[in-house]
Amino acid sequence: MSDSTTRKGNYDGAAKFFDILRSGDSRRWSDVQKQFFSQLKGRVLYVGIGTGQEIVNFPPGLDIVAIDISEEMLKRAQDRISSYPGTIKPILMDAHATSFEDNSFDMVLTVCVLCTVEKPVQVLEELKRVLKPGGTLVSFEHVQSRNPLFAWPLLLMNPFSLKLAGTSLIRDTAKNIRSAGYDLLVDSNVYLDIVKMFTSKKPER
Amino acid sequence: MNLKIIDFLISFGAGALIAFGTSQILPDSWSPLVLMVAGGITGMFLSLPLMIILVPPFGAFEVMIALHLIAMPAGMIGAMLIGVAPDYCVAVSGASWGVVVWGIIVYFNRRYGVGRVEQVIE
Repeated sequence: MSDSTTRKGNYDGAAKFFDILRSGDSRRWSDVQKQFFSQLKGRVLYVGIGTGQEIVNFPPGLDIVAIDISEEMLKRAQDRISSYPGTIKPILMDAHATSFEDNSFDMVLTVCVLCTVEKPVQVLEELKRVLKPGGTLVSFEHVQSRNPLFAWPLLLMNPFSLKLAGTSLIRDTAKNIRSAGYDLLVDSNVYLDIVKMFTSKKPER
Repeated sequence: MNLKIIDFLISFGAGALIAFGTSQILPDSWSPLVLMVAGGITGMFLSLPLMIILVPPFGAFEVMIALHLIAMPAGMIGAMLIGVAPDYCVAVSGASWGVVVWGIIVYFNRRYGVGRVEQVIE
């Protein structure tokens, strides 16, 4: 079995229930995402489009290339892609090793992706490769809490989450972003210190 | 309905349901210490169906974190009040713990500056 097939997990199967499972999160995070995504401009790589639930929160007129590892997710995103007032080009691709040229995007967007990919630092390094120097990585992610009161429920649920959804609840994404060589500029909280918004820059050289 | 009100109602209702449910499941013949331990475990188990029902419409983390913090103590409260207090007192006691947890989450959300988008790392 190839690496990509292994990483694909059961996202094709999960696509059927994805919108229902994420409907509460989408409602909760819609306003803050609209505000956060308003910084998107230029040529944007959207990693892990899923069923495209975040598309409604994008500002109009963007030039987006959207990748996902699941064909079924991309199929289900098609209606939202078609109704977006801008350009979204969906491509079936693994974020661990993309086929884009170096320095080809002005911005990269991840939404709940760095918690799910198998090797987050490898993915971040790959995204850094395709980002132009000085380009921006915009990430809306959930991470492990630094508060023990909220950290233990996440620890307890993590094995179930990994098994059922392939999502880790205990990643230190800020550390991963720095490890991959980005300058982390903004770290804002959306829910406790668990759901976060990161804005990072690829150094000019 | 406003999601902030829903968060309060979830915490209030989950606390009441878990405490009441535990008090109905466990026998009153057990010693208080055993009841306390069994109540905590029962409370955790009772929170699982609530999570499955409430997470999709109301958000994964908002529901999961609250229910985890509510479940064990609410179960303990329910178990320790078996045979000591009427059913409505058990439910109100559990609901009170749910409100405490809701307050803790609201406090930390404010402390963490939730919703402030600009927070530049020095």
